[in-house]
Amino acid sequence: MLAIDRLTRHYGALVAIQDVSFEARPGEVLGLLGPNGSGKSTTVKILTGLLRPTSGAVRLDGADALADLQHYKSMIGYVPEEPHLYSYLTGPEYLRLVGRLRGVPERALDDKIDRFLQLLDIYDDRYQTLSSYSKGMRQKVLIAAAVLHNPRIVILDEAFSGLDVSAARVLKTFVRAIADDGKIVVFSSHVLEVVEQVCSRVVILKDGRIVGHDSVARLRATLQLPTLDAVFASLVKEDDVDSRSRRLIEAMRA
Amino acid sequence: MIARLKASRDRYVGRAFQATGFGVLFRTFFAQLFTSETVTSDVQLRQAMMWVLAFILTPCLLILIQVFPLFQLLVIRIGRIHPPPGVIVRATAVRNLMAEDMLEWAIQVLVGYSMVTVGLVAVFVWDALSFDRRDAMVLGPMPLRGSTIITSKLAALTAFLLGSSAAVNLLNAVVFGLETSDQFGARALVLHFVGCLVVTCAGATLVFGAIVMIRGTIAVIGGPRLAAAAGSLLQFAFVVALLAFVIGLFASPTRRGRLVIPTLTSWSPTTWFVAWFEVLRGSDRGSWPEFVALARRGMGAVAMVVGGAVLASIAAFQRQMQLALTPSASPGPLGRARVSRAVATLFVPRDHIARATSDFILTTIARSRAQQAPIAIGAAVGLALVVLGFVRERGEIAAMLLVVPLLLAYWTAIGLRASFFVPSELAASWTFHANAPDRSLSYRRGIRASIFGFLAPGAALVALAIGGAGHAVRVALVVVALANLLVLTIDFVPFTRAYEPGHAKLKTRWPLYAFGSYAFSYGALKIPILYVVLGVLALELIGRRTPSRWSTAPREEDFNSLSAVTVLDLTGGARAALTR
Ligand SMILES: Nc1ncnc2c1ncn2[C@@H]1O[C@H](COP(=O)(O)OP(=O)(O)OP(=O)(O)O)[C@@H](O)[C@H]1O
Ligand SMILES: [Mg+2]
Repeated sequence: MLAIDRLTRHYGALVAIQDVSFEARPGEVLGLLGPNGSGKSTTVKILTGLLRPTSGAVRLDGADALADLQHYKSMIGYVPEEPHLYSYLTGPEYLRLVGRLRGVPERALDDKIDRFLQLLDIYDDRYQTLSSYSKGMRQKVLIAAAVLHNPRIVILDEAFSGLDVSAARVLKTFVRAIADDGKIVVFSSHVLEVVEQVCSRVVILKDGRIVGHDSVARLRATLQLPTLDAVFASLVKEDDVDSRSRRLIEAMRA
Repeated sequence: MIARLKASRDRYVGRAFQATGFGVLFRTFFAQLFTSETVTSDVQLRQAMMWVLAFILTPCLLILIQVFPLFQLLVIRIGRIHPPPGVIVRATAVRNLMAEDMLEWAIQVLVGYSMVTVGLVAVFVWDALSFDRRDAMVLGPMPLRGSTIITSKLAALTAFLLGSSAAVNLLNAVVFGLETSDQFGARALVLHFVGCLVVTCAGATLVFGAIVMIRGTIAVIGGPRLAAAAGSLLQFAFVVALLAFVIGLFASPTRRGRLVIPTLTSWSPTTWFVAWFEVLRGSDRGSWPEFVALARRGMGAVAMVVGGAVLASIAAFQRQMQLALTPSASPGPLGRARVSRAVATLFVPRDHIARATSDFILTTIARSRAQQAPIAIGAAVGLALVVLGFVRERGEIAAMLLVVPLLLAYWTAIGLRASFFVPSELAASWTFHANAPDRSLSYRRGIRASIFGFLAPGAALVALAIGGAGHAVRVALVVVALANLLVLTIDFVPFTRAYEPGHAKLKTRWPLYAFGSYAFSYGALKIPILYVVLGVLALELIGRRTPSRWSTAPREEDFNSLSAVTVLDLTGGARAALTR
């Protein structure tokens, strides 16, 4: 079980997240939901060991995970928010790089890469450098790179942005299946439908704090609202959407 | 009524945009000439260029200052002695001829210098000399006329040409004018200054126009890969040309005799410009028909090249617009660096992290021009030193030949090390950070393998051809030692660390580089091969022992600047124009 305990992270004077605590269990997909700038990516980066928390702890099976960072990182697969890839490598070359860094056996690696490329529909682009890949194609490469070594924990940050409908459908089911396989999955997104379909539990963040934390169904029931959309709106207290869009139009005309 | 008002307003806004569109585009295109994709790498590239130029500028001035006293001795009339009048007349005639030859020689040096230097500056901004697909993608949807875009591009190029040729030639023309006219009065001063400035700038225009023409033609008929290859090649050629030019000047600072010999030298552009200079300053020779003809040829050539450059730019723009509408063609075979990668793998057969690192380095170098530029500069310095060595040691050709592979390998290695600091892949550095241990000796092994794999095959092959198998083995061992030494100075995954301002410490470190150049070439030839082996082993031990400061983790400040790496401000500029 992966648990984080009162995580706080400051960027200079700015408090990105404050006292964030939750747990993610094997076999379930934990959603991290929140508006732009609410601290999702910060939380995720701390979870993956890329960023040190200002205070607080990450615990895996009760032990401090960040103490042996190398061991902890070897169990994680991470899809970052922005698809920055080594631009001069081709898709397969990039996956081979990651596979080797992860210590995937050389013999299995090439076969694995081919299968991923074919299943994700990017096999035909295997001779192009990543700089010429589209956003969705890069996202697919990132997802393949994250699960190449069969990690115990999979952490996805806005993993489906830029994907077409059919790819998104396949991957949504895939993420669920990873969890069913007994792995820990953390899924950060601001797209409500996706979270609703994929996640079993959600943590809702706003301004770096948790404002809601429960299963999707229970959140809906306790707040007596029909959809997660409405739950979200009531929890993060968005101001009136209509008036905001009207003011946007005015600004555009000005 | 309202609709009509609106329409006229729209038309007005459109016209206003056309007017400001030019200014904005001009500024954007001009700025493009100074920024490349990765700001930081560009800073390095330009610094490299600056030191090449600084290195060249001083000798050129020095030589001119050395030559002018000779010239003045020739033109000063000596009144005190009283030989017979007939002798004086003949001596003066000879002296005048010699003085004119020397003047022409000086002009030729300045023209040649201007052509090579401005050419070098132009090939360093190779990518920005024409339109590419992205320009078309960004500008296509904007309400801009094609002609506005093309004129602003051409205007930006012209401004760049004027600026760079003024920077290169103005000082030279002033020195030239002052030094050559003090015996002849103000009229000569003006004529010499103006003449010198005109012909040196014309020479610069000829080269610049030709390069723009080539760039445009490649944009029309070739793809980005051909453009990249041609760019690297030209950069290399111009660096070599510049170094060879300076070395040639050092080797023979003055040359006596006439330069403009119609039957022999009329093919050479510098001769056209020398003749043009004579015509401009209205000398006797300037009125000779063959001089006039040559000067005309020079003017014609400049006009033709400028016209060609304009046409090529127009064609390139139209072609890129077409291409932007069609899906990208499937690319040809990519550079794969098969040989170097295979050789590097021999070095680290079982270490998967090291293999991943060296493969990454070698593949990126094979495809990225940002990395190839410093390597090419390094190799060019090596080549220039080889030339210098041959010029100096005329007697010992055989010994000099043996040094060639070592000298080239050393300086290419210095360039290779410099390329590691070009942070073109900074944004993707998280890959190593997230997927691999932060510290590991494997990275060091991987980098060392990549240095060896990159240098050894070529160097050993050249050595084999020159000095046989024994020499090839020695060269390979020296390269291993070099790789072992250089890797001690690298503590990050190449290409993924932000550039630290003031890092290129060439000014303070050049004695070290010069010493290394000697030690790894002439020195390594003289000592017994056993010592080379011992040196390799010693370095290996040092490498294992020194606690590495290694880390794949980006430093905190890098993390913050990750998103600020890419700038191509076409969108910003055009958007600013639209909202104005
Ligand atoms: N490197 C950084 N330096 C300074 N402040 C940062 C940095 N990264 C994030 N922040 C700040 O931390 C806060 C949380 O950012 P974070 O990226 O975690 O948000 P997010 O929920 O992922 O948003 P989005 O949905 O847009 O991805 C924001 O206020 C942001 O400005
Ligand atoms: Mg985010």
